[in-house]
Amino acid sequence: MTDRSIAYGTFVIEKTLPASPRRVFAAWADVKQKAKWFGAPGEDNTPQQFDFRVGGREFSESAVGDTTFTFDVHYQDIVPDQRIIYTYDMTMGGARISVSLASVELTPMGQGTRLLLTEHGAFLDGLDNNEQRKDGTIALIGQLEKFLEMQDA
Amino acid sequence: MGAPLIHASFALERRYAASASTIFAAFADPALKACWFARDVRPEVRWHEFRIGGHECYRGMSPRGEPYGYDGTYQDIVADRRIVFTYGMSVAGRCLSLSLATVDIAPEGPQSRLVYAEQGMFLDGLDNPRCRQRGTVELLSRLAQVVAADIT
Repeated sequence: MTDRSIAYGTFVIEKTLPASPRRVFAAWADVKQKAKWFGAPGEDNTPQQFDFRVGGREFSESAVGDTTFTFDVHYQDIVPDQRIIYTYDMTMGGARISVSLASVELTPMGQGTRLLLTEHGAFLDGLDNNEQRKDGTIALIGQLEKFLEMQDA
Repeated sequence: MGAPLIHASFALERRYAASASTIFAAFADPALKACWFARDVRPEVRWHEFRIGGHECYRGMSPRGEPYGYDGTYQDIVADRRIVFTYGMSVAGRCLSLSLATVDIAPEGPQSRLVYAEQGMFLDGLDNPRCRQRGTVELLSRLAQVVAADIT
């Protein structure tokens, strides 16, 4: 029998990005743009399903070695160029590892944008944890920054 | 430009004189849940689909005559042990809050221990975490009445 547990965690990432809120928002809202930075570097990260609207779903299934991972998102609130709120869960080899509630808030900052990402998570059965999720998300936001810089070039 | 989001979390621990399966049933069975949840707000629409990916919805009119909505989704369920769900609340079509909630039930001798935890975001100053926590305290004491009635 699996040892059942729930670990709670919250993390906040704040980053100033070199693009307008409109462009940063588009990098989340447009699947072609999002696939270029949200996921493993250098791979095709296009989700199997992508419906960016309140009530819409995004779904990805990918394999790392023999293990299948799923990422299942539901968009809860969207204010163009300002705010995205979504819930998601992840599974690994068929076991649910986490359920999360996340917000991305964008505010103009000079020529750029201040991005504030806040994520609340419930990590299940010791299969993942808040620190690991935070590190992974910091890496993704770093990739978003590079993507926006490349758009400029 | 909307106000920044308010983020808040709370956890409540309770002990009930009931088995874990009785407490779980009070969340899982629509008829039992209706005895303690969304009772005073008298919803006109009640939908409770207790399975992973299933929805729970309530629609009605608030005492002030505004339409309200509760829209939840079950994210993880382990029978007699755990329920993880997310939900949003709205009034007059405006989203007030979004939450991630967990119910953790464990047997403790003849009793059971329940930990209800919630992490939430409150939007545009339309609701606040203190009210939510107070409302949940009230719900959990009603739940106590329901599960106690069940074992007699």
